[in-house]
Amino acid sequence: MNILYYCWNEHSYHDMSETLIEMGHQVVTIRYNLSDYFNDAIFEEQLYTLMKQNDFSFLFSFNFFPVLSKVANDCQIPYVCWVYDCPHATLYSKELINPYNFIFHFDRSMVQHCKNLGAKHIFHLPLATNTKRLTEYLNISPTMSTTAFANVKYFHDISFVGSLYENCIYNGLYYMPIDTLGFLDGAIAAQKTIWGVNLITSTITNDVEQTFFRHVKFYNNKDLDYPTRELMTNLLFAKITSDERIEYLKALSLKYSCTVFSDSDVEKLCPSAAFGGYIDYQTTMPDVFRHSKINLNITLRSITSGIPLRCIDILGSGGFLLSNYQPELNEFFSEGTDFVCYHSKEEMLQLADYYLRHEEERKKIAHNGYIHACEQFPYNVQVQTILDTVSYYYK
Amino acid sequence: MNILFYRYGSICEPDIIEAFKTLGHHVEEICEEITNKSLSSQEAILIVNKHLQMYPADCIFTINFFPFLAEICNIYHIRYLSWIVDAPVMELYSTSITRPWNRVFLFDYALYQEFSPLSPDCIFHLPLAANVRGKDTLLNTISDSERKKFACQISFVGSLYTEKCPYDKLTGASPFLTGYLDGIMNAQMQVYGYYFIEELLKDSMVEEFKNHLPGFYEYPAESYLTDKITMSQLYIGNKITALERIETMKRLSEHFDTTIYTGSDTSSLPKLKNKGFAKSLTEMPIIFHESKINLNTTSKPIRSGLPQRIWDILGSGGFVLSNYQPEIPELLEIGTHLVVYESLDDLIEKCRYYLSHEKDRQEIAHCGYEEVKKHHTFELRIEQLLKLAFQ
Repeated sequence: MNILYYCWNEHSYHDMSETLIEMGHQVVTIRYNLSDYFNDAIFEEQLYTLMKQNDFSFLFSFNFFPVLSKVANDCQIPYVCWVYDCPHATLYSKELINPYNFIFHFDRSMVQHCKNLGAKHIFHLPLATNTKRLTEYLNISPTMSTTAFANVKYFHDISFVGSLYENCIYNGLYYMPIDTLGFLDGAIAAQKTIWGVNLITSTITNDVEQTFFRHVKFYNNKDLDYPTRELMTNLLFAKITSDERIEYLKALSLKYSCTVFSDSDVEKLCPSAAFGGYIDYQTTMPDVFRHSKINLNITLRSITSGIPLRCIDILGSGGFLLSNYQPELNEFFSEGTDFVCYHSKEEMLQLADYYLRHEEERKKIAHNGYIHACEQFPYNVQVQTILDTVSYYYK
Repeated sequence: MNILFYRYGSICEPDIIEAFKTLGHHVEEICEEITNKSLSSQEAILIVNKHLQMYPADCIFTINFFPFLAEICNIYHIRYLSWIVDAPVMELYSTSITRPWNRVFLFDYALYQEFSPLSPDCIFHLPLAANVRGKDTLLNTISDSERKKFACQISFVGSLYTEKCPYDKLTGASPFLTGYLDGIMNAQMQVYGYYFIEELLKDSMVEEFKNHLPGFYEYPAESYLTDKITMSQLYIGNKITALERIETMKRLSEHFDTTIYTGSDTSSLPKLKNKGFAKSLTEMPIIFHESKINLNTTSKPIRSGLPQRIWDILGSGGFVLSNYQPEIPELLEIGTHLVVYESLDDLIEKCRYYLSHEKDRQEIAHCGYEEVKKHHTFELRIEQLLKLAFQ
């Protein structure tokens, strides 16, 4: 196949394009800084000409760009995209329902949501690990012996890679009536007690929502029909995630050696943790995962069911994963065998303590998790699913 | 065995007396409190004392817990058997709960976990049950016209809690606190099977709430009760039940022909048919048998267990559609013996399905009835209770 690939300097560009090429396809890459995800006349014209003059099987991008969808639809060529962000506002654009879209989304609940919004070809597809790259880079392989796999030198006890979202919009709210603030505090406190379920959307009442938006003004994008309840939920989710990450990491780092790799101000927000700086996805992150005794996942709350990329990356790098309960993680991997799962801060602390002291069990679990990630979600398998699905609908 | 049954008028009492008698025990009853609700403990002590001297008993039995009986039994050195069938029961927090002659049976496992550390050898978990034979006898003798009188699509027997809602006395609390409480109550309404209110109340909030609620309940004698428990279970728990039941009845009656048997005021729900109180022995079994769908919404202070209503419906051969409670899958098979809903949308969907799938509904009601008849009768439970109490 001949594939036109729109690259926006996403982390996964190399993994995806190399996989396609290895599978025997031609990849033509275009790079362009979109001024606007919905309309960009110059880009649209160039893309249109390029697609008309060449015989592409489809246009591909990570995440959904309405402007790409529009041009592909005009050219009657499939636009294939693989969404790995949640929330992903562009899914609320009117281009979502274009018949030439083939949208693959890592989160099953969002797939259903987009179907309800009228998306025609939308499929659930968990994210992938590039076994080949990580095999070469980390010198591990799915076929190596347990002993060889267990022979690892540790640089860190507990690691966490990710943002602390201290600049989330909720933290910058200028004014909110005190009863509304109380209500939202209550809703946030309740959501914090439960993982894997969205309590916020249905807890918010119409009154609270209206009051909220009377005091918070958002730039209204005419190309986007982002439901206000959804928007509000995601603002609260970012706030909850920020609180939780800081709170969990503080509690962990008071007892254990804990390193946080982040673009956030870790030294200020969580002074008891070691600050690892911002690390590169391809060159440093796999090392961190492989050489930490425990890798922590604290899911961004807007991801209500899917497996966050961090988890796939940890498992695919042969790291031991300690994660909050997350529906699809618990569906595709076996808790206690492939990874370890907590439902509260207290349980996370207990499990961290246990697995720091039980090295053999920990290594066995990391090994199982690695093998199952390589079996279930290697890039070539996931990409083949995409190609088969598109071929089935569009011959 | 000679059992002194101290009665106060719970609807379970006749069924349990029958079970004791069927098992060959002799039952003496003290019924004063059924009619005289202002009976003081001093007066009650005198009555019980006098009775025990005239008719010595091997144990005293009550539905729910009476601290003064725990004290009497502790003096007489006879066992005090108490079966808790409701929540919250504030008397459980009395320090009399730790008397060594007590044998307290809690229908709710979350309650059991809360109380068993206080007296591990004397507190047990025992689910409720049904008097199937009694219901069979009634249902076999009623006329067709009587059946028709109670036939309906969807029914619910119980209070809307609107009249027993002390939370509404809250006045003058800060907007932040009332907002916060609205937020956590709304969130709790989305969740079945996990009650998180207590852990979300900060001490300062309890303090403020207490200061702004005239007559905030305090246990009259020495107790283990904390203000946080009172606020979470008595005030907020009942308030959430009220909110939830009104919302549930509103949604149901907007979609379906829905009947309620209650003493509560339902004037805010014009589409809901209110048929007033139902008589527990002579009418309730017929209502359960003749309703296509019997709703059970468990009151929130019952955190994990099955309320009496579920057993009564099943024992009457009725079809149960219940909210999810954690102990349901421990005792019954969901989808085989009864059906559960996990949200109001789910409830509406399931009502629609089961109203139009009569065979499925009848099959489930029948299996539920057989299961209760075989494994969950009061006789079986009382046998187990006595075994645990005298082991």
